[in-house]
Amino acid sequence: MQTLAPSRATRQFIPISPLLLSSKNGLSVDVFLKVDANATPKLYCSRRLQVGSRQLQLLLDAGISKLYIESESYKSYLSDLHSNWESILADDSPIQADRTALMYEVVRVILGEQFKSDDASSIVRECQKLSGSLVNVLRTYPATISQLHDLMHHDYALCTHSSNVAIYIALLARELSFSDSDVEQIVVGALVHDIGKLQTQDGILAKPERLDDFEYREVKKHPSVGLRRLLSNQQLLSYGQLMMVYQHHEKLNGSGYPVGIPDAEIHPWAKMCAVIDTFEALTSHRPQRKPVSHETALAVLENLSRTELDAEIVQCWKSLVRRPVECREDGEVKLHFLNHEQA
Amino acid sequence: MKSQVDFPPLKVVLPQELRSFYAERGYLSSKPHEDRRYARLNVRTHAHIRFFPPPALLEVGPVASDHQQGTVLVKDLSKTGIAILYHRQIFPGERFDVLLHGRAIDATAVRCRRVGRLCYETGAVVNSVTVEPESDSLHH
Repeated sequence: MQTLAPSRATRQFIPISPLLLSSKNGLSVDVFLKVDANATPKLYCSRRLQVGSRQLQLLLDAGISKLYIESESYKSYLSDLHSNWESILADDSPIQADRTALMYEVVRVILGEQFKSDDASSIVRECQKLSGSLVNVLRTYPATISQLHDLMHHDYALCTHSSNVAIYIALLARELSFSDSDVEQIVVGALVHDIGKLQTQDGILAKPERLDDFEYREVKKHPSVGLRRLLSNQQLLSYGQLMMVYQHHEKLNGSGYPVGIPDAEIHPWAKMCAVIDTFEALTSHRPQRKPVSHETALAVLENLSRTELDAEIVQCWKSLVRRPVECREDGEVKLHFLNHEQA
Repeated sequence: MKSQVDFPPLKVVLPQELRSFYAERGYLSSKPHEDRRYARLNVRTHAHIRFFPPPALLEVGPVASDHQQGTVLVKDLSKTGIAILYHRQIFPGERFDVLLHGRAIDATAVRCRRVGRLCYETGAVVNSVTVEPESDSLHH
């Protein structure tokens, strides 16, 4: 029987960020480019060919925000990313303005792969490495919430939500004057805060209709499940980080879960995580609803701050979200106010 | 009795909704979603609790500063689980012995829920039960 090779039309492609081409050794997979939305991707860059920063800039200037790899190359691509992401992020020679986007892409992809591995100690170790790079990039290349929001994905994948929460909370923690070392710890806590959901059935997490009582009870188990999973590993996380996992659904008035503890017993890092978790959930796509604008999300937070969320943290977050953009161009600082309804 | 001297007194404050706590007898009813394998029997009595060294990760938290033993109210028991009331929250993963009727019930907390001020209900899985003649419970 004759076996036919898959035709070009049946090949499947996966989008990747063009910024990953700046890897010093190049990628070990062929990279494709779509000239228009409906066209079949064409070979743009052969494996191991390094793309210079000037060429990359031309690509970005042309409005190319996605390149493609063949789906069967995905494993090699991930392997590249695993071995090179630290050097990719440490290399600040290419396009400085897009370092944050590159960092975000790396965090999301690595976290997604780690979550698939379902190995708690490996997830934590990788998150600890990612956290240092993430905090460093955000410190070196300051960005506003709206700028970050624009480069983020907003699907309801666990790795997307966790990456977004981690980036937002890094800015919030710095604004609240936590030390760099605390900020790094808080970011790790945010990256793993929903680790218990890895045990929840995908069908429940992605259900487009309202959850029934049984499904809601299953979802509400994730803080306890997460804590137990992390406790079974040796000395990987601090008490504050564990409380971010366990207490991020607790409410100041004691109506939260899993325990229903009041304000005084909730760890401050968990209170921060609760504010950011709520904001991120509201401004992202969810199976049951569409995202709301930043201003609407802030109004919801303001309302909840009377009973459930820490009012000071909410105020601090509001001021951060509404902060004007500082664009540094040729040493000149320009101030713009963003249209917050764009989200 | 030795244990009555060594163990701190009960600090649990029963809220109004548990005013009939000591009067409840017999087996507890279960709901289908609870997926329980064994029946739970109401056992309403005081007992002593000894915490194992906390998981290393919790050592810097409030668990370490709290005493490592105390007095609890036992709520119910089954072949594989125990529910107790204690004055502070017990974290999932914390391991303890409940000394009850001359036996040490070694258990690991699975869930905890605040019932009221100084009253937290903890559900735990029983790891093992051994005879402990020296440390009996405080019968109510």
